[in-house]
Amino acid sequence: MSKRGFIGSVLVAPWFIILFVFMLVIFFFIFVVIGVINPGRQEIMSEIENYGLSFSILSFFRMSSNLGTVEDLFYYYSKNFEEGNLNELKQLMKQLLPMNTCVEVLVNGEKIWGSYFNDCELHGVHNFGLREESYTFIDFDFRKITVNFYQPYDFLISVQGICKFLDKNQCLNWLGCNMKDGECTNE
Amino acid sequence: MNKRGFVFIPLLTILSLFIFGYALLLFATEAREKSTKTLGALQVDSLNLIWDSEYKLLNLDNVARYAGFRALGSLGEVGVENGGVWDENPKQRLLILFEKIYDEKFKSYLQKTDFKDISYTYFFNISNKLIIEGYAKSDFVSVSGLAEYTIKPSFRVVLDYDLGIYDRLYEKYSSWGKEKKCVKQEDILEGFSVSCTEDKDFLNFKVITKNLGYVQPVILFKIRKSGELFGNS
Repeated sequence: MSKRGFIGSVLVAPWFIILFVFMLVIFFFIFVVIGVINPGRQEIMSEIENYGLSFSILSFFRMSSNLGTVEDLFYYYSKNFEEGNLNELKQLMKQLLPMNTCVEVLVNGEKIWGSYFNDCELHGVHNFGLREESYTFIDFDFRKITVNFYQPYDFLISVQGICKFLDKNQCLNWLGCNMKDGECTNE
Repeated sequence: MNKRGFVFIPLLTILSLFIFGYALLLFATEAREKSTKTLGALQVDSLNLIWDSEYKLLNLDNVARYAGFRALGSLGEVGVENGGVWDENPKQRLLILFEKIYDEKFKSYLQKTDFKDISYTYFFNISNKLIIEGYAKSDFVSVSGLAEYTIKPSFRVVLDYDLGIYDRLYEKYSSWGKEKKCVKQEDILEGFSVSCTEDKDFLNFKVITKNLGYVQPVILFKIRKSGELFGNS
């Protein structure tokens, strides 16, 4: 090997560099044609994947039991907090919602007592992250009932102290965090 | 080109071709699978609109039901013309009244939905259950990005309530009017408790019917004591 060594031999060989660039261009076109390279794909694919929960939620809301539809049960429970309605709701959630989905219910924007349903009790609300889906409907008394669906976030960052690292917008969308005196807190 | 370059160039070219070829094989299979699943921006916008519309339609179904419950709740108390005095075929008379009340209630709920600018034509079917069908007179168009999605937001509501009870109440208790008195103060019809009180000219009845969850309709009606309507004086 000369003083220039292996790398030096390659760099001083213009024919190889020209050939290499030519190969890059050819293969780039082949990759684009077969669809491996597509700058918009990641974004689109992730949007499509999110419909998984929407399917379940629509079926969930269309479900009914002997005590009424899901909307009816949310209404009855928000009025009287009856154990029977709550148990019926939990049964329907277990049947249709994906495992570990945590459900939060707000009436006219205010969280109702015991507003967390489903696996929130088991895992603790602070193990849930940004909301996946939200559905707002008008109830019998013209109140706005909002049902938010959360799924567990990455365990390592879903610690109790996460709220203080979130900005206002994130804070409002993060289960268990609230804005208080201009700061995001889990109180 | 020097002597070593003469050796390296073909060697590196073959190596590069091998690496690119391997990458091509590796991704080609995956790309072929994904290419059938990949959607463009227009399709994603369309899907978003479809889901959004489904939620809106779900909300419409709900408010159509609520209006039905509200109307049933009001119907029994409002009664028919003549201040709640019933004569023959109360069901048909009450159905006309129900249609009017339903329209009012439904419109007030509709104001809270996205379809507030749409007007409806209703069809009522009263067999054993009360079936209400509402057909939108115009389309609802949603736009998102490149996509446009048009629906005709119609609904069908089935309420487990038999309006025939009004006829059956009349059939049974009109004979009490002929007798000009409450034969019993408390009676049972179809499992519902019927109470009867008297005043100078009328027998006043009160029936608390089945619990529909949101409302438990109460039926208040009067039957004339004189029996003039039935050919008796």
